[in-house]
Amino acid sequence: MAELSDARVVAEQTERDLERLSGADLVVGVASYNSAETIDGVIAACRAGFAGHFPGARAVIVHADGGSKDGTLERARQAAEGDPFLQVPYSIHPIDRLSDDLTSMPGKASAHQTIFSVAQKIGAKVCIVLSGAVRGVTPDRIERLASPILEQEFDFVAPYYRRHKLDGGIGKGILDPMTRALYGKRIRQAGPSEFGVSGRFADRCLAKETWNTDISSACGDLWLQLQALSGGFRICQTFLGTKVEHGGGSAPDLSTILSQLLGCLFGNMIDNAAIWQKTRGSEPVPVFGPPFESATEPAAVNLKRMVEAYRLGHRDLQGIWSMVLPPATLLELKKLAVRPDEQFRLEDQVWARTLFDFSLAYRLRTIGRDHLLRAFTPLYLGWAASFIRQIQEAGSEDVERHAEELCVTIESQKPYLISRWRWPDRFNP
Amino acid sequence: MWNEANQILNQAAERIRHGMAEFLPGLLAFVLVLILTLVIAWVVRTMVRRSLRKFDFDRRAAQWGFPTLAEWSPAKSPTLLMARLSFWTIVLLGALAGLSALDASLTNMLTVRLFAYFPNVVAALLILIVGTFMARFLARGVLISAVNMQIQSARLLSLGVKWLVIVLAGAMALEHLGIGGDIVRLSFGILFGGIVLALALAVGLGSKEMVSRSWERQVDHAEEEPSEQFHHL
Repeated sequence: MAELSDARVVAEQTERDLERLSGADLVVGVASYNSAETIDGVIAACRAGFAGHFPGARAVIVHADGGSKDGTLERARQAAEGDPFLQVPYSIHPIDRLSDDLTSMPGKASAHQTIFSVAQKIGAKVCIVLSGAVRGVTPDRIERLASPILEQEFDFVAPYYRRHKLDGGIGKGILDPMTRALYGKRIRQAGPSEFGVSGRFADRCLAKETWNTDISSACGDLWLQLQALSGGFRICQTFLGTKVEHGGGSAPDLSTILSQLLGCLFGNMIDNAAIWQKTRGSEPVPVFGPPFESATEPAAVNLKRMVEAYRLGHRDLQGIWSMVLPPATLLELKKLAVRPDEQFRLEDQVWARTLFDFSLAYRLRTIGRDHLLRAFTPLYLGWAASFIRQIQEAGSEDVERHAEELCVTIESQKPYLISRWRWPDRFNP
Repeated sequence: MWNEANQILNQAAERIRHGMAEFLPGLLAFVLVLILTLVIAWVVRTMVRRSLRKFDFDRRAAQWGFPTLAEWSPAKSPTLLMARLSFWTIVLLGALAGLSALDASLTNMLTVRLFAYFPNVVAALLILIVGTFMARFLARGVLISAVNMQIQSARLLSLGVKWLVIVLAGAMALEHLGIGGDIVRLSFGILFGGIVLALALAVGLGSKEMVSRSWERQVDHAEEEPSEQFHHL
């Protein structure tokens, strides 16, 4: 604790450590903030991963901490037990401490930036990023995230988890189909919290001025993946088993999650309009590791409440939606609102156009951006209720088929997005 | 006697001539100032109209949450409203400046007092405009948050916030204009105090049972609803 409190001593110590560790092949960055309960498990998994899978490689654990007060630093040092290990502080802006970050880890983008900077200074070929606030990290995760970069020169390795078929609605309904339609890569479970990157990709991100601005700090993981997609880097996915849930902290509410992720996605669309408008079609990304099916055991879900949330939104947010959506879409949404529960189904095409129109409204600042993104929540709940109704009784293959159909539909609607984006006033069906 | 009457009449005529000679240049100056003002006002009106049209002000005003502005405007165009408003403001200011050229003590006094009062009018207008913006913004924020929290009376809540802010801004504007004075302050004190007291009494006494029934219903409802076992993220 004492050495991290004095910035000058830290800087000198860090410089000496960086020289000592220079030339390492692999850096595993672990970000933490008051993660004393989980940090030793993550660091132990890293050490076991090095010993088991990369015995000859020069590997370093970089622990980036945001100023923990619960003994995280001491526990991490004890867990490292003399292996190449470096502790670096990352700064958290006061506003980040107050914000409802997606993972309850404030200033996560700053942590990633610090880890990437260390990897760059060391000259590492591979940099793996893990969260110190998760349980159940296994040693083989290090190998699965690092091998595609070391052996096949990929630049970004995203995880592919075994999840329940109902989980990850935001990914299935928004992030996966949107990133596929925009950048032509069929990536699943977009916006990972653990990933591996090449030194080349880390250098590119560090050169970006927009890193750690409002957009990226809110959802740094998705921002990085979008940088890889829009920058034309080589991307792959690797099966990592069951998704580990975060060790502590309270999850933010759904509208906060949606506004952060959509803000990040739409912001990236504005920055890279020239790139995604030229992209046609899509191709699968390589997936490594033993595949597995999603879990299909029954899970409690309150569809009625989701449908009611949609209907309430339709009744009360009509004024806002009508500023964003064209009349044809509004009509479809109206029909959906009056449909009985058992026939509640939002057509994929209407959903695709709704997403595209919201992205356009975000770009045009039709209303305040925060209001706009939060006004999307009932629409998402409507889609989620409709999707869950379709897959509730379905097996793993059927779930995949439904998700694929949605992706194909959203991809096929891309000309609509391009026309609206280019001529927002003239093209308004 | 005839001579005396003639002399008095001559003196009166002389005074009128003298008065006319003193007044006419002032009148001429007033007319000139008015013509100049009209020309400036016309130029400003044209400029305002053109720039607002280029800025697509009519559509933006609706987007900013002022759809009713179009209804109050000539030809349903807020651009025309703003152009006319700027025209008549300049004409009014020019007329006031012109009046001072007449060099009459009454008009001078009127002009000075009106000019001294003018900053208050501007400040009051500014307060009203900012207050209306704030009211719309807060009302929209409350509406969206309440809908996302699935509160059935979201619209009522949002409407309440909107009018609370508008009325508050109106009262502040009135105080700036010096209209009403203590009456406005007192009415507000009584009104807000009354609302809070009424709510406290309603919840504490009159609606005690209703509130407890409502809480019970909510707790029962929460118990009935199965906890969801999936993650959106």
